[in-house]
Amino acid sequence: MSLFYLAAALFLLGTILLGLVRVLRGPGSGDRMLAAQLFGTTGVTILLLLSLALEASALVDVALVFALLAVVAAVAFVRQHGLPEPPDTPIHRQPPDTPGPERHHDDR
Amino acid sequence: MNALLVLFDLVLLAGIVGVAWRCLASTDLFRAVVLFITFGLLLALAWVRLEAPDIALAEAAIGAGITGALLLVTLERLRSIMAERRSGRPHSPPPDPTGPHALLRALHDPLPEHRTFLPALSFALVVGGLLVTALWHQPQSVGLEPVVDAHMDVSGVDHPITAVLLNFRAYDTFLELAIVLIALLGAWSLGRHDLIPARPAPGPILPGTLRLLVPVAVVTGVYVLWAGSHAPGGAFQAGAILGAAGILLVLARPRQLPMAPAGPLRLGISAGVALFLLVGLYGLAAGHGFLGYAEAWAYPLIILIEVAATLSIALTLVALFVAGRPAGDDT
Amino acid sequence: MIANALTVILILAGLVFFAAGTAGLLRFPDVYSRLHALTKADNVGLGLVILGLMFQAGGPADILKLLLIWVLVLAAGTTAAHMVAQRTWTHGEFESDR
Repeated sequence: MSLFYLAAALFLLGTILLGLVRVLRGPGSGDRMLAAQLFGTTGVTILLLLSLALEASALVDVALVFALLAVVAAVAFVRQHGLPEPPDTPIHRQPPDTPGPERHHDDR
Repeated sequence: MNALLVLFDLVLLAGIVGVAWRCLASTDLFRAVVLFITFGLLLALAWVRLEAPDIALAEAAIGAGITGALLLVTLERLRSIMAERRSGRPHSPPPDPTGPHALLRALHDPLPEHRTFLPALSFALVVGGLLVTALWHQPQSVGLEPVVDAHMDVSGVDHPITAVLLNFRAYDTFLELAIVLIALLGAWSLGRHDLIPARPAPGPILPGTLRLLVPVAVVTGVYVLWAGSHAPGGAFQAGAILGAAGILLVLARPRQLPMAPAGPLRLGISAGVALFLLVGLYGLAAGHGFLGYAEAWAYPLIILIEVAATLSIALTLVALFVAGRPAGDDT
Repeated sequence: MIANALTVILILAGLVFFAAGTAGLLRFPDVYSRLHALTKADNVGLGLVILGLMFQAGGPADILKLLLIWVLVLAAGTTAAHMVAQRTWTHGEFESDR
């Protein structure tokens, strides 16, 4: 059984690494924050699976702490208002495929 | 099983190095912050694989609860400084070369990569070489595990890590607590600082979640403190959890709250170090040596110290997050 | 034996939702659609894995702890999704970070 738990944890670790593409590519800060939130949930699941695979029941407590504090970063995120928006800013700026002057081009 | 474990470790290692690299190389500050949060998560998994669940617990509380929020709020402040600089004041005096503006310029106009690559590479090679030579000559040793195991019955607790931290090597922990206190005094000595402004909650969901989370966080903090006597846990982890709950309250408070009164706040912040010192001096006077306990008294004294340390660490973390001295004391 | 089989089935089902969540995060066109991908993994993926792990739990305390973890992640996921949607709605999807 512990082999199965470990394989499942490895699979979830793989999904985190894949999801990093969304953090790197963005484009909005909301997308990046969502990805981090998903990583938090996946991390909790990995810890629960590892606690059975490695027979270390203390890992459930680690998962509990991650689950408890998963919301803190999102709350800090919604607070930060960034630059005061000019009054004529449309709610949605141009989509990411048309390069605009405001966009970053550091996705090397 | 073993092959799969090795594969898991390799994937985890690749993830940690990759995330750290992209985090440092990112010119978008928000992206760097999100990558750093992810880095903390992967690091906690690495501590688990290194069979250090105590540190994984601390990394979970600090990484998920505190550093992410701290960096995001710092970003908020940096942006408002940038906005001030950009919008008007064209004849303002030249910015202070050591102030936050200089930091922002350095972050936003990095040196071209070809000028930083060689120095960075040689620095990394030198440090790496030094580390390898330092670790290469480690004598083969079984470590201190057998010694600790042999003395567990006189330690007063059932968890070897707690026995080391609060009994066998209590002065290390005492000095760590003192460092936490000194860090706060250092931050306070920089002067007063405006608290991040209260913001009305966007919708009813955040207040509802807070009402659920904060009591659960308090219970979890006490649970982790109690668990420290027989399982991974203890004062630092519990203090970090309670501190994160306090930071959550500071971040999400819908209206300005009165500041904590300066006297009790200072008392609470220094309680851990003060009580630790008193117990240590008592041990010296009673003939057990500085920070030594009589065997029968070890458990109650350790619990006493841990409760005070948890309170102090939690208060210190919130105070460091809020920054600035408490109001009403202009000494 | 039956408990083990149920655990395997439930965890595998949970993994499918995690994979779907990651695929959605990568493939969906905008941040509002990606919110859905996230909440599926949170609610159902973790829920199924936790349900599976409950069959291996040592006692009622372990089961309650697992349940608590699930409730906490649900609360965090819901709140975070709301925060991100709120902020994107009021500040735009592609704000300048400089």
